[in-house]
Amino acid sequence: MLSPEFIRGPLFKFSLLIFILGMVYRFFRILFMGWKKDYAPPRGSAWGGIIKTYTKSLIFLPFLPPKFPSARHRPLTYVAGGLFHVGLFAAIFLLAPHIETWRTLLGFGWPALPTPLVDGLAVVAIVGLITLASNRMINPVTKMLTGPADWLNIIFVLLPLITGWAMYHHIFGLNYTKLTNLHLLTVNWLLIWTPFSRISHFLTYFITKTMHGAKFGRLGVEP
Amino acid sequence: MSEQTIYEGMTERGISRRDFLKLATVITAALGLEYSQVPRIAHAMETKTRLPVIWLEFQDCAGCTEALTRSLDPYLTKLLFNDISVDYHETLFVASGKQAEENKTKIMEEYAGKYVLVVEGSIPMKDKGIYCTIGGRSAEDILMEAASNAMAIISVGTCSSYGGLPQANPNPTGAVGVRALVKDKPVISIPGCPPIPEVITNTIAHVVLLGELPELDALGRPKAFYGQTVHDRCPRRPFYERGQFAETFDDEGAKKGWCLYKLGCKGPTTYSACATIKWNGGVSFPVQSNHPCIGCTQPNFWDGGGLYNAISAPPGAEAASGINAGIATVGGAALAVGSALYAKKVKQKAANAFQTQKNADKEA
Amino acid sequence: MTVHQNIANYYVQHVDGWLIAQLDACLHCGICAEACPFFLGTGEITHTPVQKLEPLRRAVTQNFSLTGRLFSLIHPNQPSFDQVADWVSEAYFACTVCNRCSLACPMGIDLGALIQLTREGLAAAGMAPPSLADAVHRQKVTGSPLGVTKNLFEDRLQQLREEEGLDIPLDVPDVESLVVFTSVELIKFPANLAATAQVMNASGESWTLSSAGREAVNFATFSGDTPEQIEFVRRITEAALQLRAQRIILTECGHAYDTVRRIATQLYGTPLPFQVENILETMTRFMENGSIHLDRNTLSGQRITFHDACKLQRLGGLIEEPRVILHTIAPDAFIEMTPNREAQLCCGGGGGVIANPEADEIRMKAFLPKVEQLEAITPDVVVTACSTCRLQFLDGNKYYNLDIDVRGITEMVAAALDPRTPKGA
Repeated sequence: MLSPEFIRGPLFKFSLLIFILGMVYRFFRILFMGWKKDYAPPRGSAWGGIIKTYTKSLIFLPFLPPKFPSARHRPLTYVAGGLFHVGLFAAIFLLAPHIETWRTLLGFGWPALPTPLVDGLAVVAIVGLITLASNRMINPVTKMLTGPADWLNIIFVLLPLITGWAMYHHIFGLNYTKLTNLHLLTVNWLLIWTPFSRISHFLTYFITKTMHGAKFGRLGVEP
Repeated sequence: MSEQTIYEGMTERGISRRDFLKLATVITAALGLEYSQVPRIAHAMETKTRLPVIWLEFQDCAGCTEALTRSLDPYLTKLLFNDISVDYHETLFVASGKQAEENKTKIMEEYAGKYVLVVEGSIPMKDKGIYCTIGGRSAEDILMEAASNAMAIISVGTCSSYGGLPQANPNPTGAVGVRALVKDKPVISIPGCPPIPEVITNTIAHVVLLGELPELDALGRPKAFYGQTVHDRCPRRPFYERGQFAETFDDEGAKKGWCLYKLGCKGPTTYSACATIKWNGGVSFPVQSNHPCIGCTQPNFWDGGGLYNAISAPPGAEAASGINAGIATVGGAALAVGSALYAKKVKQKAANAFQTQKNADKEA
Repeated sequence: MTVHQNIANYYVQHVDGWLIAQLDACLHCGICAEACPFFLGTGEITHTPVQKLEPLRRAVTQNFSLTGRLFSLIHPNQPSFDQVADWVSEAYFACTVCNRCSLACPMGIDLGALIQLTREGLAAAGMAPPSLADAVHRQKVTGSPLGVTKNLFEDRLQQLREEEGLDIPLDVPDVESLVVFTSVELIKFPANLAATAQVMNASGESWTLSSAGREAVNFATFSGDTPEQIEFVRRITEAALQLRAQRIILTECGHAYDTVRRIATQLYGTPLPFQVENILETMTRFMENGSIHLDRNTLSGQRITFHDACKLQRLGGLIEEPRVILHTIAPDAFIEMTPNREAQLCCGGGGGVIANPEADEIRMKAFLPKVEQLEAITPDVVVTACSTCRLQFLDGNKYYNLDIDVRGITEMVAAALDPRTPKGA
């Protein structure tokens, strides 16, 4: 049977390696496949465009709806998606027990948010993701675009969130060790699955968004 | 070893009926049974004769015995040593050598099927078990012989339950616990390093007096004492819930008694009565004394990632983030190069096919 | 080889890191649809921008992704000819390549460029819509998609010179600027030519037209025929080099600005041997250096709005130039539509859509969001800087009974030229 030591130890190591291998592969494949340079003489600054697009979409202004480009087109996705990402970020990076994990992996840690706050944000993330999933079934455009891979991605991301939350609240009547095992199994699986799925968008986002900012910056248009 | 009952032995020593019933009540409570079970306990002591207990030690440090003898609980220890005869104990016995061994064999024959076997220490299996031999016989041999005629087997301590310290990585002696070897007799595990003395005595008393096994969990531990985690009964739990953790052993948080999760406390995954029964007659337990729980009632706790590493810090992950991550990166990059080269071939093939079609169309 | 295999082969040839990254990034969120006037006007989910790339996505997935390759082995999905026809319809009739989806995409995917690539693959396999393919052929042979030959061009110019009494130089070497018109303007909006000539003459800058480089429109951009696209641009740039002009000025055409600048860079590298300017830039330049003076308040009492042409404003960056002009000549009359600037809604006629009779119905539907925008501010005049937009607005005006005056910006500038300008017309 899968012992906690195995799941936390060799299996986690293996999953992490697959994750690193896969993401590195995905990234460098894009670089090595070559790049066409096909620009008109620039009317503006590419770097200015890049900074602007990240400021509007990632760093400060996402919290100001009028500035976020996609917000006016579909507010539901903006709110639910945004809250989901905020909650996920908090759960992964700002929860004290997880920071200990990062400390072991990276060699350093950072301050945590109070656990009950992260617990609340995790619930927000779960609700946000379920909202987005429901929208995928209702909105005719997303219904057409959504395939089996998208459903799997949603489930595989929900599982660690839900098992993690259950651990903190000691629910489902399962003992803490079993919940820990379950949580880590789902995390390990997510690590393995990510490079082979669109969840890797957390990396490719930076490629396409930078190109977008550069293109429109060069054109002299606000990205 | 006369055939008088436990009660008769007590009256011989001058214990009144009233005191006897008081004792029965105390014992009932100590065993985690309901008040309605008191007559059962009393009846058991009235009717049962002093049953022999054989206590074997293998790859052990005798710490479990030491803990037992330090037990401050007067009733049960006295009960154990006065009224339930321990007829063989390597550490406590003065006698040794061939005579002591012969005595043991005699007891096992005379009380076949009736004696309780208590085991302390792990059993080595590698190299025909030469790492622990007594009187020229391997531990495994001695164990299997003693177990064959025992009524029940109680493995005291994590070593005899699951292998314990000797079994920790790299396990040079091939150490295993009793559960792994004895399959045809009831085996109760009382893990702990050492176990709480009261838990040892209470469990043995339960078996000897009532002639039955207490309710056990999936790892063979009495649910009465191993049914909840240290975390579930920890007085520092509110701090865990609020996310207030001590960062070092002597910082402000530690002085305020904050949760020791970050200092490696294995409380959440450790099933034990430490937080309720506590040690030294209820004085304290590790967390209360500002030391993280090391999880000593759990199998493989020595390999659980380090006593001072948090549960969420994966064991051995330092290696993953160093060399292995580097290998993974290089591997990934190499795969990417391979993929790009293959892609070039695919593109060339498509270009050729396209050109062929174009030429064919032109001619048509 | 089947048609779809041919199409797929084109895409596979052109796969590079950029394309893989772009296709990898799509999370199927569908927000691109919410930005597309064709989806907004019809409610048809097939017009979702990322769906328009279906043949491209398919070809790349089947050849370059693990799961794609596995799936195509198990289930070799051969699209029917009807499906291919649908692809053509979506890419050419239901899309103007306005790039509004590119700005809306949360991942920053360059959908416009992807759809253009999709068109290229379809065109390379001979599947470009007949109207566009014919127009390209006509432009190749006669020099103009509308068949305006050199003779016709010279005749028209002479006619204009006589009617308007204007000086319109042709094939004059060693001038500062070569002005390039579209044959659409020549035939449909000749007042544009007159207006441009007036403005150029008023500025005092030496300029000329060219009979060899007389066509700014590039129908190969619309059809996706890349080799021809380059050829058509080369006619303009060669003319500029031959005449030793320092600058090419493109008049009221949307796609010409981006097409000429990009392909000129491909042909000549940077820095270019000549500047490439749009007439908007020219006019604001003249205003800034005082070459022309404009009369303010020529349009007071009217409500005037500006329609940002997708190719000039969103993809050209010429956003403030028209506003500088309109704020000067109509400071009290100018009102913005909502949304505006780079977020402006496409009129639905660009990208060659207006040239396809098959798309007549759908482009009127795509004009619906525009109708809503106009009804919100009830303008008297809509000004635009792109001839296709102008045609689409005229059609839409009739179709929806909007009773709006549709004008080109150059004509308005010419009409506002201050007679006190040193070299007034």
